[in-house]
Amino acid sequence: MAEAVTLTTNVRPSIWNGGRSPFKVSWGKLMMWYFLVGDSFSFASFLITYGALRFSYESWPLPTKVFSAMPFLEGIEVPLGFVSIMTFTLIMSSVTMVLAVHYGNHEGNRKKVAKWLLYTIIGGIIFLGSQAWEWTHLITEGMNMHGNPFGASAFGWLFFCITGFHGFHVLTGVCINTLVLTKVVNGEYDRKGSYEMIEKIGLYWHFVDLVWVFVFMAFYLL
Amino acid sequence: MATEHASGDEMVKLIWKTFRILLAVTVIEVVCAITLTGIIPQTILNVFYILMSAAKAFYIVSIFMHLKFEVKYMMITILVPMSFLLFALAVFLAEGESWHNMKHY
Repeated sequence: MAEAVTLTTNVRPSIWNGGRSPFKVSWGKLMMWYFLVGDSFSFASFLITYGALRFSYESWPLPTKVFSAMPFLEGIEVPLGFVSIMTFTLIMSSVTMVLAVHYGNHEGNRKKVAKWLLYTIIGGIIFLGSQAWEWTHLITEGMNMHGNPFGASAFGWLFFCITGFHGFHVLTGVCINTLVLTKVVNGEYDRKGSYEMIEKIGLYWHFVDLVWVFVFMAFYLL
Repeated sequence: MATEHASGDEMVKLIWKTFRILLAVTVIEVVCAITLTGIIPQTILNVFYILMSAAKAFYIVSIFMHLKFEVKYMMITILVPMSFLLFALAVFLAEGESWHNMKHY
């Protein structure tokens, strides 16, 4: 014991000497960040594969032609109309999530957190429903894992794999958010005295929105 | 915890401001895609889309994910590994180009 004391007194004080977080964040939050770093590598692998394959084709389907269908508006071409609504939904749900995080951290206001978290879940469900509609529409048009009527054969499976992987993340997010919402309503975080869990799931949810920015760019704009 | 930088109301204002920026950028992108495709060179449009998406990514990560307000070293440990992805992107796009050339040799 005495030895340990003399050792520490010889070391210059530094944030790296242990006993506190050098990053001023909790272990759980930091690990969520590093999980997201790893997850961004999975998504990047998908999108880089998309880029490499796209470069290997002479021509590629034109997004404004492929994505021009709207529910309830059969026969009318609305280029990128539906996907704009999907993007809006996801950005909006990101805002409601960050508000839930904010009211949790600043006011510990259970009612407000529950309200904004509920809106986030609804946004996620609307997004998933929209994606289901879009997939169904493209499948009935003849797009599948082997080919599609629009052009390059790799377009179909890349679209289904990448938007599917993203959609699976949204689904996971909706499930986790729902689980956390039940805990918020039950007052578990009031008893703990910390709403940090909302912040952690918030990071995940924003990451899903972040990935959509790049999926949207790759498939619908470029 | 965190958000020592701004009072509650200021943060809520910042959140809605960020939302308006993200929405405006997305609307501009879609309008450009619908009206300008085929009119001005695709390369110019693509550079524009990539820059706009990078801007959106910056706002989401810095404000919504709050990274802007974290400790500098934490930012570094998260952002520096991402530079590998730029390298991978450059390598694989060159590779795709070469597959294309082989097909049409």
